[in-house]
Amino acid sequence: MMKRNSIKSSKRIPSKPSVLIIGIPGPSLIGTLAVSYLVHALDMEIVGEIENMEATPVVFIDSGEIFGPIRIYRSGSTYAVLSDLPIDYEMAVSFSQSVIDFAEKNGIDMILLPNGIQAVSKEPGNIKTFGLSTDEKLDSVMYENEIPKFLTGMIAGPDATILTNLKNSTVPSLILLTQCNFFFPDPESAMQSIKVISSIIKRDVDLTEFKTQMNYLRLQGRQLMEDTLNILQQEREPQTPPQIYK
Amino acid sequence: MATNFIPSFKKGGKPVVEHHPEDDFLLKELVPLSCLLEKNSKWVLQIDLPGVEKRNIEVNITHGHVMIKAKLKEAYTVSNHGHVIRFETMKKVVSIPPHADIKRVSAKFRDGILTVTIPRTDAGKRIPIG
Repeated sequence: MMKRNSIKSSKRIPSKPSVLIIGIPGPSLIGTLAVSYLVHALDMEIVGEIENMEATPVVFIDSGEIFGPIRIYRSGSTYAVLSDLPIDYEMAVSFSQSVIDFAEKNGIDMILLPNGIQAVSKEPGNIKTFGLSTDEKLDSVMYENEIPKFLTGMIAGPDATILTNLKNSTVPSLILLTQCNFFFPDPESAMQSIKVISSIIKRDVDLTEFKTQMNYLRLQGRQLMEDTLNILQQEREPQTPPQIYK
Repeated sequence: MATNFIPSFKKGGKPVVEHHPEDDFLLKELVPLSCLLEKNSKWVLQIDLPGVEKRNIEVNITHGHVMIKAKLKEAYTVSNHGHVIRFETMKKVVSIPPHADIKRVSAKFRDGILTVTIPRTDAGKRIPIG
């Protein structure tokens, strides 16, 4: 359930914070590509799962063990939630609440949510990541990492539900919106997102392997991208904000 | 080809539900992603063709359809229920909307994305104001 009158903690973000990074399929699969690679590159270990009764029944088998589609990983003070399924309207509330519960129970200082925004013209080598925070304590994190603020726009659909729940929680969250193609998997933009996350969590991430696999990732991500767009297109219908907000 | 990290199991864990479109296996060719956008008086069709060189792309347009065929620089290999399958080409046929002016279609290829611009015949004519 959403907390309507939550009290936000006044403690400052520590210099080496405990961070939870959420990787869910979205525009150009930025979150999925970025967090999948972070899990791989930082050699993160699986520590749990998020069970979602509204999700499509699917399991993964690894070395005879059964895993769900939404898993939790850990390496030191860095945690990651990685979903192999797009989060639709029905899943959004319980998913975000599970993430918040996990963050509160595990003393997470900051949640990072990498995502994408459509860029009309993207300049290779000059892709920008914008930050949208739910707590002013994260302004210093954006300033230190040279992340410009996302100032004006609208986010609708399941992402809006997740953002609203994160905003109402006691854990500060930073949404990282990287310019991308939107309709196709975009590893180049995901790489920019990884660089920003690496800078925030103060951990070096070797991108050599990622660079060699860009074409492969674009081909491999086709079906997930198509499934994700089917959900995003439902949310892209209300493009015009109500008159009252104009 | 390269190792997977989607899903992020490092030792070859395979999903019970395959991620790839079944059409790949039926057609024995990869089906690329595409999107059709309306911009001013034109339709803009984009097709994602990673791992393809410009000289290996063929675009044919007829009344009602655009067919894109491309050869991959390096074969794409996937495991389908234990069988390893190699894909060397990509192909897609896209329906184009009505009122497309197929005589003035143009195409460009940049960063692995083919953009086919299709002007509309019903775009109207700009009238100068005297």
